[in-house]
Amino acid sequence: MIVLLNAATQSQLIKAAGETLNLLLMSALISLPIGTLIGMVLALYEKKVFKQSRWIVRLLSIVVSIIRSIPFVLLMVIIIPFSFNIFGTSIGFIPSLIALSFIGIATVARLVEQAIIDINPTLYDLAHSMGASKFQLFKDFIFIEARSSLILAFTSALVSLLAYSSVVYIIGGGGLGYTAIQIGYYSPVGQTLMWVSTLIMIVIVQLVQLIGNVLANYLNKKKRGF
Amino acid sequence: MIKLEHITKSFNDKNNSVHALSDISLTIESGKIFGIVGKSGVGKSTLLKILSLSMRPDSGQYFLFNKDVTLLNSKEKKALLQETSFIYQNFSLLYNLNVLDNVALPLKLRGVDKVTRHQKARQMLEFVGLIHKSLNYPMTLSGGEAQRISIARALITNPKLFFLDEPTSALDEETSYEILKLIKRLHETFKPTIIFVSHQIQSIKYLCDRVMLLEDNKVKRIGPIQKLDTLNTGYDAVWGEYL
Amino acid sequence: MKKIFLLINVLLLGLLSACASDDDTLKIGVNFYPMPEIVDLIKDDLLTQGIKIEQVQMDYNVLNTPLYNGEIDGNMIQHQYFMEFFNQANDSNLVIAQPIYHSKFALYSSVYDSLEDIPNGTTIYVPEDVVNLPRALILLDALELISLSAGVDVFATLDDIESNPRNLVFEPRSLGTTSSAYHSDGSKLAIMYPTYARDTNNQLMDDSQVLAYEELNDLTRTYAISFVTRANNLNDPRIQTFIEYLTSQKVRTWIEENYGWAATPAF
Repeated sequence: MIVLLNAATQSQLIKAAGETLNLLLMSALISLPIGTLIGMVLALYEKKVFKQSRWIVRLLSIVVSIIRSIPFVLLMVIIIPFSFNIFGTSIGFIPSLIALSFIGIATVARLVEQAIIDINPTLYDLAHSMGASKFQLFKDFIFIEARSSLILAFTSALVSLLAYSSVVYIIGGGGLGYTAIQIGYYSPVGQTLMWVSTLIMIVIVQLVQLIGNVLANYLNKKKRGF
Repeated sequence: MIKLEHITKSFNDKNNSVHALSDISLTIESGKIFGIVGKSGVGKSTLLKILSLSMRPDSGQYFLFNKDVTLLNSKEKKALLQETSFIYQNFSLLYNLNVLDNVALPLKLRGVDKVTRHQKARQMLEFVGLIHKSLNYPMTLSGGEAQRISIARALITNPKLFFLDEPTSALDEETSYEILKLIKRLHETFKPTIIFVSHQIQSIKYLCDRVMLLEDNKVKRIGPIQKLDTLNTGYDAVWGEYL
Repeated sequence: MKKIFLLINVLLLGLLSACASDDDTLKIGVNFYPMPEIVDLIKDDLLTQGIKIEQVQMDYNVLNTPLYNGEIDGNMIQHQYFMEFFNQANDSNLVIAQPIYHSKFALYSSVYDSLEDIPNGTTIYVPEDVVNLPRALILLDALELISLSAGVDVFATLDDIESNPRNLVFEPRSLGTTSSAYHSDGSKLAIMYPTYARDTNNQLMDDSQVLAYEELNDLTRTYAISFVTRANNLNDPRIQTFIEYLTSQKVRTWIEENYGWAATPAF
């Protein structure tokens, strides 16, 4: 099928795939660290490891919920004036990245929160009795024991981000969603493009899923024993 | 060197006040093995938590290594804790680290370099007889082996004080005996103070110098082990090992 | 630490690469076919005039805002009514710089061969939105199937129908769902744009079911899809040159040959 596409369409596809992957990578680079941090705070507060700043934690939780409740297309459009006032542009890459980062952070936060809450609580007692600092608790205990769950959480978040990224064409972010829907579906000459774009998106998701699962499995010594 | 005077602790659950501990007093001399025995729910864990500085009593005094704990700030408490080690009923090893890394973990947290701490870890593993399992992961270990690893881990920091919280309750009789022998051996070799919580009378008898019996949140009896047989407890003999 | 530094670098690089654009380019907002193709057609010719064109492709509903705030220089996505709605809502000054094409608009039926054959009480599916419903009524009025009150034109509603001798039953639907409603009711009568007329397999229909096309006159010409820009931009020589090439014979021929089934050139 790819062969059936002429050169112009091929270059269009490559450009679109590049835009999607770029957005995915950039929003992941922003969402994963920040989202993980927020998810940690929410989870550890829940587990009573973290007792200060009750109101900040509550606020964070509410904000995360709100962002996840707003339909993403609406979120994108709401961000337009905000993006224009702060970054000087209301179209294209920047507002798309901002919108994806917002939903990405919220998604990662919830998933990480869940992964951490599922950890055996005796881990915290153990860390405490060994005299671990909060930082060491993260680095040497939580990130060790929960690393497979975290990787699966990240994988899930990436797949979500890809799905969200398919509609950023509405504000000029381009990508495979544009070629699939705007050109592919709506335009009278775009049928092949629609299917090929969708195929590419499927391939990306499968790859991400595969890598995530393999990595999570490999690192899970509890499951494998070696 | 460890002294509790009139310790009380209660928990508030909605309207009810649960008295976990009532007027507990005890003295433990350095280098001795002290047992705390009693039925489940009688307050042993709470007492252990207070002793290991995880919990604050509502009232009473606690002198650890002759220091009044209530006068210490958290930094000083932490420094005290550095001289202690904990052994749990469920071993608490990190599944994603191999045996060597698990044993070396306390030293890693203290900033000891890799070569040194791995060397020490191997020494400890030799002591407990499991050096051949260094590179295994905890999931592949039997219960007894896992507990021995956690003992090796507890030993690596040269603690002055050991807290043992039902260390053999999850193991069968034969394995339990092996573990108790190991504990006795480490006591003879390193001479730490040991606080040993259990509901298994035979274990208590085997290890301890002195023992305290908790019943109804209060100290029922306290005294040297030789007098254990004369403790009259009225405990249900079907499940427990009480007399 | 090294890893974090590397990550930040990658992030910055990605941001920069996506932001890189020439300030000397003419940014033209487009969305649906065939506008991107038309712009592509004249892109190289404009380059010989020293004008670089960048297509900004996004949803047409949000393409007037960047035009208004200066981020793009013109767009090719609307007729004057859509533009006027935006101007009213935002107190802006967008103007029609050049009409591009007139979308064909037609009465479809697979059952009746001529207007006279349409029986009493037939249901007719029409667009429901505030611009296309009047357009449909105007078409019916021109075909003398109904008559609208005098003086009503592009704001006509169903209430402005003065006489309806065939007792047509109106079923307004969104543009995207008119054709499926039409087919589910036996493909009797509907008013649609050829670009929205799809058969039951979701393929575009040919003109075999067209009973009558909308005729081009002064009123219907106002629906032309046009190149729109800001009032203060009209005299920019680059814009003028763009319009020159936009209205060239080359584009006209292209539209007639490739898009003639759906539109006629408006220049």
